[in-house]
Amino acid sequence: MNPTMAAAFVTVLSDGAWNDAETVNTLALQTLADGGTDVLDQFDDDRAINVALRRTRTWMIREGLLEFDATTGDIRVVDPEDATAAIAAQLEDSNDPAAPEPTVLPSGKQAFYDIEVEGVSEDEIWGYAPTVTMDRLSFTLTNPQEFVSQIMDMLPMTTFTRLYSDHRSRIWVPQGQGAEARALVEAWASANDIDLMRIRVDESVSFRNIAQIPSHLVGGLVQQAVDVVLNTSRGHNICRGFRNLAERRISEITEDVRSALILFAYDLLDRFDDARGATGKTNFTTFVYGKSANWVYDLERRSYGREVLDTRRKMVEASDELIARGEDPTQSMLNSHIDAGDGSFAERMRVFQALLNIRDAEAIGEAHLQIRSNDPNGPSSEDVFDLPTAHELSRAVSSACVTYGENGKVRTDGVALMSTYLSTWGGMTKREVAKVLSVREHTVGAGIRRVAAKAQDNEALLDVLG
Amino acid sequence: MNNTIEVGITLATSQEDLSVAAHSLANLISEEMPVPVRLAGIDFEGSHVLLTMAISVGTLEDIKANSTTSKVAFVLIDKVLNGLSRHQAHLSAVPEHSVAADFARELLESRSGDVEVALADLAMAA
Repeated sequence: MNPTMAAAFVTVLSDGAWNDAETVNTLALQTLADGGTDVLDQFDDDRAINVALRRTRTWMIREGLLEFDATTGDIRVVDPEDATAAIAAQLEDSNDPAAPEPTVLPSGKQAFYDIEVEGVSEDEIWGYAPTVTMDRLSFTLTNPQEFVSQIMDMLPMTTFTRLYSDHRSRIWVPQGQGAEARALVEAWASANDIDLMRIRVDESVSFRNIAQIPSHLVGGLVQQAVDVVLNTSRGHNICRGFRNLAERRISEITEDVRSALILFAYDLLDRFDDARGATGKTNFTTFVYGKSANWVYDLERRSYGREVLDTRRKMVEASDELIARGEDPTQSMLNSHIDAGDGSFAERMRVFQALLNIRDAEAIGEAHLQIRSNDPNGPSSEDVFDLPTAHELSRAVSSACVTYGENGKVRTDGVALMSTYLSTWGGMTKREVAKVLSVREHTVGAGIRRVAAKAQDNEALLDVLG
Repeated sequence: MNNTIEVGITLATSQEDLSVAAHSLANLISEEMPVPVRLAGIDFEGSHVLLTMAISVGTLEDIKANSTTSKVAFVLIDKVLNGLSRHQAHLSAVPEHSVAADFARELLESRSGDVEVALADLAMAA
């Protein structure tokens, strides 16, 4: 099948002729007559084309390429350029001849070739840091920069950690000591009145001390693996997932997606075990490929929340059901199936965009590679937590204080913003802020708590605010 | 009591991208209702230019009463932080006094307010 047909679908949709089956068929046939003859064999008559178009529409709705216009009840193409590219990729099965061909293993999984960086093979690169088995303690803290180092100093055993882009704290301890470490950490948190969230222990998992590998080799390995994954059909799906989240065109977010995937791959480095593949041997690209399967969904769930995701899913199901009955899914029909007025949607999207706008991932990745360790024989770095977060923090504070309603109305909380700004960036105490703003100290505290309360609604914000 | 309060926003950009950043900033400022914005500081950190703008958010009474003056200013701040992500826009303290900013302002005045050209010249001179 060819992209001409795809372009016709988009043209039909963009022209607003969606609900006119006759126009759809006529235009589709014209397109076929203009050169898309190779698809003619697949359609017996107008009815078949109509069905094909409906299937395409269902698929486009599911993929977020179409959206409902609440004011007119019509369906429109979100972005014709993206839609054309997505349909063309779908029709052509997205087989880029330049992309590396994965090998399908007997297990059904896909495997890729080993990477070579500056003449050093992947096996040699991993050879710098042999896999060992350790227990992994993971948890979420409101202020990991300060507390993780205290926890590591407190634990009476060898520990490793580094920064992870998902803001989870992970501490690796010797195999068999995970439960003991957990008990000690929980006792320490309780004694210091610190809130530890989602603490868990994974016993006997693979660990590599990647600080033992020259950073340029690790960097080259990660970047090549990411480029390979992005060149596959899964890479296309990842970009599309991000496009749905960020509501920007794929061409505009490609670099951001690559940066985000690089950070994701850096997070995976220390748990990669090349001896755990389906055939007893795997490589890093295959590992990243496998782990990226649910990556965008997890990000989506984290930024939108499960409730909104469920709403989206219900919308697609309702749409499919209506289409199956031969009806066009107008907004009013869908409203009977879903809760359409989710006011937190836009705000959650803004949080995600804050996460998405991570540039200079390679530089950040370098910072992530710096291992902090209390192992006297191991490497350490005092700069391990020096991640630039001023931009994300600023956006998080602003997002909490400037909100946009569905009707375009803007709400601002100036006292909260100024209280947070003066105390955080002005270096003032609450009392000093109260004096500058000519309000009571209690009012300043309440303003800052309102910003913090916004963070309570969203884990991403909470992590950013620390 | 009638003094206006300012919020600082710093853009961190390469010298090559400085004119792009200035152009984007100028566009955002012109999109909103008039908000007093001044160039408060210019600094250099490695290969990056740190451009600090001071945005007036109104008087104390404006802020506390949530007046249009402060509301528009806060929206502008939000738009700059979100719209200029590429240039790592972030809140910052307003510098007390900046010789470089004075120089930039002189350049701006001498060039009839062409902020992009003036900033590009400044970056070249740095």
